[in-house]
Amino acid sequence: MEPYGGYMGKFLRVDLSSMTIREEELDHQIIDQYVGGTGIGARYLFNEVLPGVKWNDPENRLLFFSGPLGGTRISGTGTYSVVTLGPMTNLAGSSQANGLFGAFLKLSGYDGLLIQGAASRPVYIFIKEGTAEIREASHLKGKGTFETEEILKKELGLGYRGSVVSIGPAGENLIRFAMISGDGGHVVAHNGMGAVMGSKGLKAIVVARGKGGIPVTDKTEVERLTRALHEDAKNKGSKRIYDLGTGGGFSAGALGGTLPVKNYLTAEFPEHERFDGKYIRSHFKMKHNPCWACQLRHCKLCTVTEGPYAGFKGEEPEYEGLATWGPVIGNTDPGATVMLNQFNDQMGMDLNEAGWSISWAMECYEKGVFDKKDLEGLDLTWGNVEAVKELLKRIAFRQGMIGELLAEGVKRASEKTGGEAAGWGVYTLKGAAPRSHDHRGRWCEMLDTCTSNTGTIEATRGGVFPERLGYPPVFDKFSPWEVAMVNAKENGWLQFVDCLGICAFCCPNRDLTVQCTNAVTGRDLDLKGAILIGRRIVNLLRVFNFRHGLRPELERPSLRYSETPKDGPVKGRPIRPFFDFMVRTYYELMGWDPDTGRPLPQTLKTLGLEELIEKF
Amino acid sequence: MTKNIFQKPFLFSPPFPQSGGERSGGESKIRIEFWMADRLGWDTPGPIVFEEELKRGDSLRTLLNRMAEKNRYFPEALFDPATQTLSSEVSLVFNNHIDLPQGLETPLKDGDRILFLPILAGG
Repeated sequence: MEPYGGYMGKFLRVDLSSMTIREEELDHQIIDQYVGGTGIGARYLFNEVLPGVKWNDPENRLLFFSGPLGGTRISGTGTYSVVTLGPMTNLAGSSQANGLFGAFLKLSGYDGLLIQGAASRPVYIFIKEGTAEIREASHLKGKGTFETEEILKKELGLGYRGSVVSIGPAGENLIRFAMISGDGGHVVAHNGMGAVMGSKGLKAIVVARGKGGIPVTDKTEVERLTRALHEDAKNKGSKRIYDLGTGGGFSAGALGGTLPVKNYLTAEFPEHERFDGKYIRSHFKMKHNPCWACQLRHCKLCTVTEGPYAGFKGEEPEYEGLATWGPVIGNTDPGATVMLNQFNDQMGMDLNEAGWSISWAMECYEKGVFDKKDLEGLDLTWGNVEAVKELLKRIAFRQGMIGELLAEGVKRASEKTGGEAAGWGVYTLKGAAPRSHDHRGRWCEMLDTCTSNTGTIEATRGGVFPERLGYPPVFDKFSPWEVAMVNAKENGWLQFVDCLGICAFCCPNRDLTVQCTNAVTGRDLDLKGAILIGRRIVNLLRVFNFRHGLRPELERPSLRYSETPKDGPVKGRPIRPFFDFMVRTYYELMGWDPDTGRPLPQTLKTLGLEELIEKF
Repeated sequence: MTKNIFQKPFLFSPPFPQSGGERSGGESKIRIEFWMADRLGWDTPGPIVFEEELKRGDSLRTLLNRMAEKNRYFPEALFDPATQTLSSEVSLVFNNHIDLPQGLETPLKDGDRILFLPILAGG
């Protein structure tokens, strides 16, 4: 069989127990069936992480994979996917980051990295021009992610020709929701990837940009489609992001009842316009900070120009950063979100879980569950930004009662505290908190967050659009049948995109994306075939999860997560009575047993996963 | 009349024909807002804010049909007069609430506020 274009054809297997690295060829059949990124990561995870393995066992795997588009001149192709058995859910986790790392890795000759074992002392991996070595990292212990990046680039003389992904103190201290940060704040956020990296004693991975290129099948067609894909993203699918960043939807979220405010105690945030991308981009000073080959350039560095943090320089927070460090913690100063966003990334934690944990603690403080003495002097009044910063540090270093408690995430913290406070946490029963939205105003994403196999969303990015699937439009976005139907029918596409090594914002047009994949690889995929690959990955991860203890009753929201809003645009609209129906309908439409959620044999067979039928 | 009353208007061609003058006593008007208007068919982020005169017996349906007649962008992006359906791409908030028990037959009255919002993904 002819090799596909777009691949380097090999990956690095790094065993940190034996401190060895070896090159392995990528199996053509695996490429054929799983493409790259999340898909290839999922396959190796399934093959090598057997039932009984825990997230912090050396036997767990941490897989970094780019995809066939990675490192080409197609816009936004520095993206990579990380797959592991994650600590938040104790099930599969998959999360993506943009930046440069995925592109540099491929230009150095590798499609990915498979990390196994655990080092007895802190180490980092250095990859340069087709060679790789494991190096001592004791001098980086306790350093933040930005600091680590700076030190390593300086030590290795790399400058802008180096890409570093690292963990902060949170990952080293096994904070359950630690993340991995790369290229100045592009994060692999969900399901505790940084904690897994920390458990392996791996502080960082450094890649020096190689001099090689990416072999593509049809260069002329790739060039044409690169332009077409970008024009479509810039002028249509991602126009708002091009103009105003992901924060450009902040006000619309507030007005539509999807903005998360104060641990869901309210759904109203009158100050929303000062957090919207339109305000931030026209008031704060902005500087481009683009990812690999990105022409969309929505990532920016910014300088705060007003309020107590005027003059502070940091990344421009994405929507989730603005929401988390704004309304979720009751803060009304947009400048403070830049400071907290930067500090949290330096500590190395998923801001979504951090935000929900802190807002839960703030509610506990307001209602007298914790007092100042319990918190060792911390005044967790809503909107107390400096107290939140101090709390982030305590969590990252597991300092004091509150730092240790919240280091496990909001589900475990609220359950351990007990009493009424046990019912105040916003999370899924699998163990992870949702993204920073109010999903009581966006049912499709609550259903997706609860039933996903990745520790975060899997099927949808927020909309109920039946007409895209050939069904009549739905007037009521809260129609339980349509929500379940659209989630089930849509599932597959996002997982396919996460295989390609491209930022999802850079490829909103599905047909062009498939054409681009074909031009790079020489494959002959159509949209249906691409979605089938995505659904294969979904089902593979689902079988993996059942082998690792998934039970259908865990695919539900917590009490607070599903509490009927008391105010705001969605006031009085209950989701909880419909949730069982939606889950059951979703299972059925996914080809899963409606009672147990287990993929039916026929479903696995249709997806070319017959081999799994006997395995669970 | 139909009038852009947003404080800091963006450069765009108003999609609705301008007519009439300032609001006078006795007229019934509603406020219509398009947030993230670029996602709803316009070439500007907005928000685009208008006041629209009400006619006797106006409902959401009659309003949408009237707006669709006036504006060439409106039908394709938001409302299809042929099938009388509102696109799923848009979320409608009526007087700060998403619930419209009477659907398109919801009667309109002076001072009502209607928001058109795109469905968002976040980031």
